[in-house]
Amino acid sequence: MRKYAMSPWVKAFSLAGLMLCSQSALAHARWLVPSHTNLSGQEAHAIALDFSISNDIFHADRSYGSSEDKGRGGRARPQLIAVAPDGSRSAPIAYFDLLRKSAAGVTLAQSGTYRIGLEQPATVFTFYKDAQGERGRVFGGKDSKEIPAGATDLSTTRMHARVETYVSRNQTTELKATGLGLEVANGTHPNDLFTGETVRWQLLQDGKPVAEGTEVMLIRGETRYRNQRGEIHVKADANGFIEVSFDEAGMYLLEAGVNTPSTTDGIDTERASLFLTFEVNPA
Amino acid sequence: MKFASLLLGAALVTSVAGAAQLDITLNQPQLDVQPYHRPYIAVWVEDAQRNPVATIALWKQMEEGDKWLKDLRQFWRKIGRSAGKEIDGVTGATRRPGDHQLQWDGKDNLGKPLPAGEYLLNIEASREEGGRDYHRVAITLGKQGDISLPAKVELGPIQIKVK
Repeated sequence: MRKYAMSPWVKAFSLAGLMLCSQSALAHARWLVPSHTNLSGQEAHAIALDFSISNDIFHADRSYGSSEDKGRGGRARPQLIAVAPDGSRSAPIAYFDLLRKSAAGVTLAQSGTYRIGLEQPATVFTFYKDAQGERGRVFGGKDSKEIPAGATDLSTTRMHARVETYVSRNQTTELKATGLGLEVANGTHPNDLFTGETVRWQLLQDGKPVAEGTEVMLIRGETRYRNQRGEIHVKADANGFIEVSFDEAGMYLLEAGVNTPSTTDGIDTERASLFLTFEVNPA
Repeated sequence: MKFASLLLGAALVTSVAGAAQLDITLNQPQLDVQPYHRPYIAVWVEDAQRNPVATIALWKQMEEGDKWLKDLRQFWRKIGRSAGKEIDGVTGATRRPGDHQLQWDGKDNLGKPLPAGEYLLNIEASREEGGRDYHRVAITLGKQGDISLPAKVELGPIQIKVK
């Protein structure tokens, strides 16, 4: 149950170097906040979801747009998908552009735990340093026309992001790992969290425990209303488990990212990231 | 129908008084608030590992279904989520403020006596447009003792007598 003092999140990345620093500096937290994480009762239930891209946790900044929009530059819009307790996947759920955030409603018909998340094909970015030494990034590979002439230190990363949350209606049911990307699998149920209790979670990457020492950052929302962000940093043990306990109730965001060298031509790094929203109740 | 189940619940709670191992006097304070919604209150017993073993009382708004039961957050996680008919006998309507007497005969909800030893008594209250209070206190079945819990906001002082 270790709690780490504040340390730059950039340290979490397993590979050192300028490329990675620039990459993290340009990345924002992505999150999806459910109106409810636990529901009770016999009638059918709906929840509301807000999602946005921002550095102030759970304070909206950049919208995901609307599910009806055409993707920019040929890139597909993320799909909002609810995976029901029986494992069935919903059709893409409509969401709306509220300019600073997107919003949707989801009906939960089954009893048990739903996994609700944004699914997006992997996105390719190329990072560079321009002739003046300023770092930047563009969408696409090293052949992108947006890369300024004379740029150096080109590095291409393919990003696989998982942005999700869990909501349980009446019962909690076991989380079923997808085996794809970075995810929380075994351990404490994410809809059964209370202050002062130890939470133990296993992180899987493509179905296998993450490497020992993989850093995970957890942060309570409403960072705008306090002067220190109060990030909690923990490291995975030899079996990919993290342990943490929370002093304060609230909605939290878990962030983790793992970089691995790519075996694909034209790609240098594969980056899997996870943004998981969960609620901690007062004991 | 609703009335009948309330009466049945009350009858079951009092019928075990003869063999009671636990007497609880629970004060539900009068609060000077407008509007006042009567709180949901749950009283239950867990073993020392926090596994629920018996529900002593659940007072909820009967006509609302279980929509707000999740707000008894500890009760919900420990019992409400997986509860079936076995708690019907101790389930009743919310109460008016005042001193409420509860007895428990040391049996689980299927009527099986629990062995003597360490248990955790849980008392939780949650009020619409109000707050939530929660007590979790260790008791030893088979050993006499008196426990007093101080008043909080939604729950007044509570006296527990273990026989």
